[in-house]
Amino acid sequence: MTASADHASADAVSPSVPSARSGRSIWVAIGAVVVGHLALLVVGSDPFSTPVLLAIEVGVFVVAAASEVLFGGTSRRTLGALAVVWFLLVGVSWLAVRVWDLLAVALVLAGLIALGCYAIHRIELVALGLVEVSDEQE
Amino acid sequence: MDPTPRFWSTAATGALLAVLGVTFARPELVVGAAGVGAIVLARQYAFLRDLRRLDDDFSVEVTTDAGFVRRDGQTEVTLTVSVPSGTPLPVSVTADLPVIAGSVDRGDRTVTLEPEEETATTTFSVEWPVVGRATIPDPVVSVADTYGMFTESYRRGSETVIRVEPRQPRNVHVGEGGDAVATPFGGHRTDQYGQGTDPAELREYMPGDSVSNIDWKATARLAYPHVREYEVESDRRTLLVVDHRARMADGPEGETKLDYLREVALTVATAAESADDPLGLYAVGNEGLTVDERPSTAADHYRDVQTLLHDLEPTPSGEANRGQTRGRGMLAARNAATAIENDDSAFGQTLRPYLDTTDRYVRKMDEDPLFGTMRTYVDRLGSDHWVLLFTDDADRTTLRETVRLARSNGNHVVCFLSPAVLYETGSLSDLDDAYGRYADFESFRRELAQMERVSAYEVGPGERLSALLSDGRRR
Repeated sequence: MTASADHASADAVSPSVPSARSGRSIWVAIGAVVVGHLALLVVGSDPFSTPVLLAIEVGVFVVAAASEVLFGGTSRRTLGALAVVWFLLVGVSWLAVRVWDLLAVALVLAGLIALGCYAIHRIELVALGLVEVSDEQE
Repeated sequence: MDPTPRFWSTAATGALLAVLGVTFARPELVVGAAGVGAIVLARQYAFLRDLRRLDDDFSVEVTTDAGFVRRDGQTEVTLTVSVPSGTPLPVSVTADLPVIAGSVDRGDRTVTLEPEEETATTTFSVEWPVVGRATIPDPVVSVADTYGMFTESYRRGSETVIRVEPRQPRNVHVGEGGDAVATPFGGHRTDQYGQGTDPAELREYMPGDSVSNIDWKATARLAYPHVREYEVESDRRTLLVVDHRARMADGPEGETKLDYLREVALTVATAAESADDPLGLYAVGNEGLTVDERPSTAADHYRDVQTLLHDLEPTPSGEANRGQTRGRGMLAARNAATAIENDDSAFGQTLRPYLDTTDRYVRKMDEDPLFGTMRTYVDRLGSDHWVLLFTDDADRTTLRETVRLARSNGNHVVCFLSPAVLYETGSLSDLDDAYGRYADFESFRRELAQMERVSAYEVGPGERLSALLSDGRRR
């Protein structure tokens, strides 16, 4: 038998992904967000009461940031990014729900987050040189 | 960047908050959804940063202990991953293998670096069962987000090429007393002038020359009748007599006596084809003649002879196959057997038993089969043949008689002999003894070569012969 094989075997498409260090951090942060905002409902205060909402949001952020530091050893730069994105999104959405319809705000919010995720994804592809030539031409 | 189920769970939680907020007209929940989105974006950004940091400092290398390997051989492949500043993320790197490589457990060819680790390496053996050019692609680097929300896989490093070569003789030495002979067989000149197409020389007309041979242009130019002579064309009727008895299996796999002699015989067959010389083939097994291809110049004949030479294998000792199949029949049987080898249909299953045994004898002989073949077949073909004998020197007395018989009738005999000492497996442990046996062979070869119309050459692995002779000269 003679052959010329320049192609990898099929298992190349299913790489060995290393296991993540911990999932607790993310669930603590998410749990804090959910519980904090459900607590607002239970308290039954005026949904637009700025001091209460601000206190809740700051508290939830502190819990989320602390969980990252405790469980993941996150760098200050990442914490800074979390703070910026957190207060930007939460602040903008808080202002938006006062002006616009809730459904419109929710849709715009979902669109913004999806766009942000996709933008970071594309930046990552370019940074790692994973953009195919055909993609660039398109 | 590929999202994991954990990412989708997180996203679903945020979406649920948003839906509940819209459904129950509670803006707090929509704001909460924004908080979840912020966590997701922050995590993704952190992953991007760590990935870039990792990639800036990352190096991966795949090395092999050899650039080429013989079929069914093994190579050691080493995968080394290095991140001098320590990896910020858990990384696993897997060396992929080309399709022609043997199977290697994925775990054996994967290295994993935990966060802050700097280097890791693994070495594994790869078997190469298929001949060809194999490219080991650059390894796949797989990275996971610290919190398991994202993964990424990409290739880094460089490709490594390995040539897998067939097990066949390399550096075939054909020579006399260790000195290689460039063309023991091939183009041949008659050194006779007469009728032909290739102009040989111009000479003055002599009484007795035919007038039709006068070259009138030369005569006009030189002012005296001149005759143009042509080189006589000749056909060298060539008979290959190949010994493929059990003892011709001596030597490492793919480099046996028969393998080396086969290379020489194939070269002769090719030379005969290009010169349009009639070519015949007789193959001798343990118990008699296995191939009887009488000399012919038919176009298909040369190809058949070459195919038969390729198909020759040392006959198992004590084989008791019976049959009266001529060479062409054997070839057809082999082709048919190969065609239905994997045919599980009723047709294939029915025919297979009839074609399983393809090494049949044309004629069994009680006497030495090589001598018997020479006496029964070659001697009857008449004179002026070139008999090329491919065998070893294991039975010198019979070989001597065989050569004497072959050169009768005015035949020319060329012996290609494989000395046993060059085909012993393993290293030449006792060089004194090996050199002595080679010297003994050489004296026998000279004895044959001194016979009238007989040439004798040794055939074997050039490196081994060189090693043997250089050691002998040192002593």
